[in-house]
This record gives sequence, structure tokens and C-alpha cells, in this order.
Amino acid sequence: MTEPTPKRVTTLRELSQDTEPERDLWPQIEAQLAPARPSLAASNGGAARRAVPPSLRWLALAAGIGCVAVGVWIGRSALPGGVQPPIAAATRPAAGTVQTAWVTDPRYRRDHDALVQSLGAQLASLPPASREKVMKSLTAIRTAKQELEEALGKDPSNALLQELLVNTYQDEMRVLTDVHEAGDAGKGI
Amino acid sequence: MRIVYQLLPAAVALLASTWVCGDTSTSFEREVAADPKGIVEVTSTTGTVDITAWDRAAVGVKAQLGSEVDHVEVTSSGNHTVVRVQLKHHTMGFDGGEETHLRVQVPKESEVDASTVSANLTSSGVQGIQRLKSVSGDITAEMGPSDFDAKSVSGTLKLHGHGQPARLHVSTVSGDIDLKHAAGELEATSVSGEVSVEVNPARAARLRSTSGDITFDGRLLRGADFDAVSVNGDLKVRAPSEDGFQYEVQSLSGDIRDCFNAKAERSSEYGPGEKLNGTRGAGGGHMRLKTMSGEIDLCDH
Amino acid sequence: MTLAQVEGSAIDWEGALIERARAGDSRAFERLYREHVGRVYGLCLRMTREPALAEDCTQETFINAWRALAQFETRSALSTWLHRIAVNVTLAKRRKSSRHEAFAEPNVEVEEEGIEGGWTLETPVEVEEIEAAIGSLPEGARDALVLHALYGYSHTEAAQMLGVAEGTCKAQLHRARKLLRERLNVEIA
Repeated sequence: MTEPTPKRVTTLRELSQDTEPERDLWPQIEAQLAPARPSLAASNGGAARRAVPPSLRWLALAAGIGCVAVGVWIGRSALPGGVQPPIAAATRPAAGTVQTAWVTDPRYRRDHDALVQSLGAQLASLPPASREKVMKSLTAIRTAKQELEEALGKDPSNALLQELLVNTYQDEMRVLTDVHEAGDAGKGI
Repeated sequence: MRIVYQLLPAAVALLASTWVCGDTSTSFEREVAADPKGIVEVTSTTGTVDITAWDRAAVGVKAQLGSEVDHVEVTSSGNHTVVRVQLKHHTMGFDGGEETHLRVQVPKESEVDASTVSANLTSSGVQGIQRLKSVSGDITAEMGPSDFDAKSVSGTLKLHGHGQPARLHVSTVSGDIDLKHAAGELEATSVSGEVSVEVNPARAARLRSTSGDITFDGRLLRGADFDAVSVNGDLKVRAPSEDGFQYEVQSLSGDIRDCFNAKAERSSEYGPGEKLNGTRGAGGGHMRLKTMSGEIDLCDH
Repeated sequence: MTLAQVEGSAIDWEGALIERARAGDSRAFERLYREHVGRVYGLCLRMTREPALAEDCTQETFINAWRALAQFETRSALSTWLHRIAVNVTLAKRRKSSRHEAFAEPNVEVEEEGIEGGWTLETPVEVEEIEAAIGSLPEGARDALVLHALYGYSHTEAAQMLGVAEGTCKAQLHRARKLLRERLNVEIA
């Protein structure tokens, strides 16, 4: 917390050492960090969820961006009959939206395809009611991303929108990782 | 007539076996010695799981097993006890069969690690670290004074504490979070579920949702750090604070209301959005409330 | 690890947060960011004198800190470690910039007894005036002054952070004192 600076000083030490930046820099910092594991402290028996293996984390990261394509895949794949994929196909962002840099990364594209293959199966292995709820959540995330990207297209320097968009991508990653783990949970027991 | 008499015992036996097969559930009971502060791992993909604490240095398992269950494994090695319900033929246990009810009693200082798939999971009386996970089942748990971690994909989390400080980490994808009488440090996230939490007192709180509403009620400790962010959900925060807080409140298209007559101002001269920045009391803590389209309600008393 | 009490000391909490951040918990790292961003940005701003550049330096500092957390020794203060990174980042950016002043050893006699001291002003000076005077100093002198006189680092520490010999750092401080004296028209003890 910044101490109130006196108007006149007699020593340089009295000058304020703390200056808060004009805007919140965290969203851009967070976007550059390696994907956070969905766990608390992992040492000393802290109540951490099991750390996601690096390969899985990367897949989740890639999958997070490819949520829309996942929806398309699910729509064409062998889901039990009667389950309509709620996520409509959208391969291009709308005009004026912000394209995320991740989408064009070659590593993402490769891992995205691999994740799409496994994610459909994971979702299909969930109980029907659960699968429907998860699809609705993925739709909510996709809608939020679209709204945020459109808004950022009009106001690219808006820090609030940037922060919310980064949060939403992260939440998407979390969801896809959780679903991946959930799909594995019921197997081999 | 003689043929009937000869066939009668066979007929009776046939009827009796049918009667037995009509009731396909079986009982299971086992108890093993356990470290009073050891780790107890419980896994079941079917039925319900109830975990309760007791004062004995043992893990007691009682179960009513449905027909989909192959066997229950109870093993103990060092300070680690594992209770696992094994299904037949890799069935997921979603589609019928008799319901399985698993009741596990654990030493109250145990560290409990429980996972279910579609089962509802309950836990009460455990004082040690708890990690509770379910895919589609609901989790109802009593939080103790230790680290607590609960996660469900589509189930609801209904959690109840006793005001003992701990680090709490709860998350769902589409389920609701209802957390009462907690204390300490909380991180709660949901995508589309409602998040309603009561933390008293709170050292730190980080609440996040995409479309669900977030409601917080609780006293903030000196220097507390509070963060609530939602894309489309409403944020309602009532947080008296020991030494006040600096607040930073922003909504792009929702209204901002507060109980201390501060007036929100436009975030930008040319674009939409409102913000409310200021200090309450001595400004020792930090309060950040952000949403794109939700409404924000902030009060410090 | 359980919380024995909610109100622990600030250092205990920081240690726990560092531990969690090391394990990949970006939420914990964000808490550390919020705690220290004021001091880091304050230093970057004084060294760069440009808010936008100071923001870049601050972001890069925290990103580098995240990547190097495994090397951080908890027996030293996190704020000092972050400042070291911030100084490195700022100097690196400065070297790349075309506006960088060529570093020159100040051609002054160093009076040892004039270097130490609390940098006390004979008469109080307005904060704005003194900040402007500090901002107008040549880079080398300003860097040494900010680290030693404002942030309290010893000559040895300041010299190490700036990557110069201790004698050079002292000479820069002497130059800073002389220039401030002239610009503020006040004696500095």
C-alpha cells in the first residue's frame, strides 16, 4: 500500500518508493506465464489437486482455444443419438474481433487436433445429464469469448476486457482439463 | 401325480433361486487398522459415498453393493488405506443396476482423498486435509480446520464449516457452490454455476465465474485481498473490514451500486463502462470487483 | 500444511505464496505481484522516466521472476530480488534503445566523506521539484542515486545491480549530489 507522500521533504528517503501503474498489468503478465496447474501448493501435503501432466496441460491449453472446433467435431462424431451439439461451427472470428495469437501457433494446431480426437470420447463417456451440463458451460464460455473479443475489437486497450478475456481462456482450459480427467476417471476401475 | 411329486422339489428350488436372484445386492463389511493421521483414499464410480469421522485408529467400510459391482478392495499399507469399488466389465455404473451405498468411517485426523464419478459424495467430521472430487455427483461436506479442496464438473457443492481458518479451494464447471461458515483463504470458481459464499473472517478471497452470479458475505481481516470477477454474472459483496480497503470496481455495461454513496464514473470518455475507485476506512485491504455485463453491489457494513 | 492461525506474519504468508507459485500456482504469484508491483514499477519509472516503458519493464520483471522462481533463495527478501531483475530488465532495454546515453565514467574526484549520509536537504523542497531534479540527472547518476538514496541499497549492492565497480557507483553518487545541489539550489548533507 502506498504511503501518502508529504508535499515537502527534507530527505530523499521520504520520497515514495511505491508507485502504482496507471493500469493493471497483471492480465498481460498472466498471459505470458506458463499455464497454471489447477492446484494449490503441491508440497507438504497441501490440499492440492493432482498436478496435470505437462503433456495434458499443453493439450488443455491448445484445446482451450479450439473449443469451437471441438463443438463441430462433436456434432459430426458418434455421440449418442439425440444429443445435439449446442456449439455452432464458427471457423473465423467475426470482423472487428481480436484474434488470439495462440490460434495461429503451429504447436497449438497440432495438439489441438489431437485433443479434439480425445475430447469427444471423454465427453461421450460422461453421464448424459453431466455431458449436457458441460456442453452448456462450454457454450457459455464460447459466448463470453465472442462477446469479449468483439468488445475488444472496438476498444483494444480496455484493460478490463483484456483481463476478462484472459480469464475466460484460462477457464476454458480448466474445463477441458477437468473433462479430460473426468473422462479418464471412469475407465479402468 | 408321481411325476408332479418328483418335479416338485426341483420346482421349489427353481423358485427359491429366482427369489434370491431378484434381490441382487449384497452386503460388505470390513475394518482395517489405520494410522490416526494417515491417508485414506476412497474411489467409487457408482452409487453414493458417505465418509464420516470417528475416534478409532481404523478404517471401517460398510456397503450395500449393487449388481454392477464386482468387488470392494480395502487395502492398507503403511499410513495409506485404499477403499476402491471395482465394477464388472468396465461398466460406468450410469445405467441402472442396484444402487451401491458405500459408508467409510475414518480416523478424524485422516487426510481424505475421495473420488466419485456419478456418485453423490458426503463427508462429515473430518479434521484433516480433504480432497473431494466428483464428476457429476453432488458433494456435501463439512469443512474442518485443514486445507480443503472440492471439485465437481456438473455436481453442486454444498459445504459447511465451523469458522475454523483454512485454505479452501472449490470449483465446479456447471454446478452451484454454496459455502457457509468458512474462514481463512478461499478460492471459488464456477463457469455457469452460482457462487454463494460466506467466509468469516476472510484473509483472502478470489471468486470467479463466467456467467454465474457471485455473492459474498463475510468480514475481511486486516490487509485482506479480495477479488471477484465474472464476465456476465452479477457480483454482490457485503464485506465489513477491520481496517478498510482500497476498492477498484468496474463494469462495462452493468450498474454499480454501493452503500456508502460513492458515485461511479465513466471508465472512458469515449467508450462504455463505469468504474468506482476509492478507499474505505484506513484502506488496508484490497477489493477488486470486475464484470463485463453484470451488476455490482458493494457494501462494507 | 494447515493454517494454525489466519493472521500470520507478512513474511510467513509470503514464503507460503512463493512456495505455491514455485509449484505453478499463478494465483499465488498474482498475490505476490499485487504486493510488490508498486515498488517494482516505482523503480522502473524512476530509471526510465517514461510510464509506458516503465510498464513494459515491470511486466518483463514479473515474467522473468516467474520463470526464475526456482532459483530464488528464500533467505533473501523477495523485494530485493525483484529489484535486481527490474534493474537488469531496464538496463537491457536501455542498451537496445537508440536514445541510450553512452555510459561515461564521471570525471570527478570522489570525496569519500561526501558519499555516505542520509541525503538530507538543508531546507525542505517540494516533492514535485525534487522528483523533476532527479529525473533530469544523467542516467548513470540517476540510477545510482535511486538505488542508494531512495531505495536504501548499499554501495556494494547498488554497484552489483548496475553492473559497475563500486568506485564507479560512488563516483556517480557524488556527481548526483553535485548536480542536485546545483539544480535545487540547496545544500545536501
